[in-house]
Amino acid sequence: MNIPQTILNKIKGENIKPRARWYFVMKHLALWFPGVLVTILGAISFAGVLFAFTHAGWEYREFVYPSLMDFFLAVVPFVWIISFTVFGSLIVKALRTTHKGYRLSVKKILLGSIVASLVLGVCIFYVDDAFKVDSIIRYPLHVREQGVWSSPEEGRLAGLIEEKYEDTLEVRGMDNTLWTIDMSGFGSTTFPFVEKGESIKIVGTSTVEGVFVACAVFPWDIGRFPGSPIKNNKHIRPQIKREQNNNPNCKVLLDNIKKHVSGDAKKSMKENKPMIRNK
Amino acid sequence: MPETSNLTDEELAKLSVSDTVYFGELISRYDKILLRYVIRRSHATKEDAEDVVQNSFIKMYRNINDFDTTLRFSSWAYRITHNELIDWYRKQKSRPQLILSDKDEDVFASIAGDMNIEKEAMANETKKEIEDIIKTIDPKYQEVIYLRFFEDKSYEEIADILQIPPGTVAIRLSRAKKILQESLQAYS
Repeated sequence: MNIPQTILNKIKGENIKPRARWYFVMKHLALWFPGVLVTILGAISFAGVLFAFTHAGWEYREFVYPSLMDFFLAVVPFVWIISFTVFGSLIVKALRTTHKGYRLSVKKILLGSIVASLVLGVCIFYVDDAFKVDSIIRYPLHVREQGVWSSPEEGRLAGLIEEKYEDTLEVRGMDNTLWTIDMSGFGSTTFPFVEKGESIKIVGTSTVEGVFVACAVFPWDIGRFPGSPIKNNKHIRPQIKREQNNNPNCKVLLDNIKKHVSGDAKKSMKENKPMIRNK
Repeated sequence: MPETSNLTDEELAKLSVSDTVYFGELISRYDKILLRYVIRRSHATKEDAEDVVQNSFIKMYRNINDFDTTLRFSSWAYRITHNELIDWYRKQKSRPQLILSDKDEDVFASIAGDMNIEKEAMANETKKEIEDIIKTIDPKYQEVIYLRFFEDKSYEEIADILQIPPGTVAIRLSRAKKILQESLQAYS
């Protein structure tokens, strides 16, 4: 059999034509798509890890979690860490199918993708201040924190400032209850983040129904890793991220909350640092 | 009839889109090489092997616009034929094989040289042993040994044909040689 002639006859006889160039362009783009998608999902996952760590509640950790270990177990964003690992592994498969992807070694693909995901993840973290993706994929941060900060009997309360007076605030709690916040111990309510329309977190005690004596007040979006940059452009956050009541009684109250939370008297003694800053 | 003999394979591939004469020249340059490749890598009859090669060329023509001119045309042609051969194995429910001939004398010398076996020490029994061992090792190692020693392809070309990283080619070759050496010691 004369192979060249047989093949040319077949091409002519069956009117076989080369596929158009655009077909291959589209095909290669489609092959790159999973790789790009996986890198973006990896980046979102990394932004999620950053977001979870920086918004973990470092400043009020002692009022919420019994120990440092409990705090870490509660805040480690397992969902994001697992998704980052999964997408990191898929990238090898995704890029190997691309036009020249087979030339890349697993090490190169992984390193390139991880670096791209990390850089992109940091960008997403800085651009998306409230990290809306986290709210969509997991559940909104305020919902997550609702349980923690809707416990006035435990000494924790959060809500929206509806009115601001000389030494009291009217705060609408997350369960829609209106609270009068006694700020008299602070000597003032003039703090940059204590403004009508802002949300705050308060550590204190409720002595009379509907009245909550504030011993420590935090801006709502506090909880960043100590020393991490402040991104909130609504107001300038004070250097002291926690405004505390200078009433000496509050020291006892805050210590009691801490003891109650830790449930360990010995530990509580060891960590019994002065809580009230003199202003 | 355009003059084609002074054109490179890659130039011919580019021109094939507009005129089948150029593709005809490419077929003439590669049909025997690819036919030999298919026959050596399978137990196919000559007719079956010709069908595999014919289908490979038809695929090359259909996908000629996908040919990346930064690659060697020969690597691309081997790749398509290799994939077509794998499809053929599947249909036949068979495995890749290695059919050797007496003309492969130099190849055995080359393999032996690579394994530090002195040429003079290459007795007929040793050649037979190497042949037997190659035929029994894992097809993925057999493939790289075949392309490296029998087809004289570089690591880069083997990587482009099998679509694996050049590093993997080097690892597979090194492992294949180790297996050969160990088997040869056990044999003797």
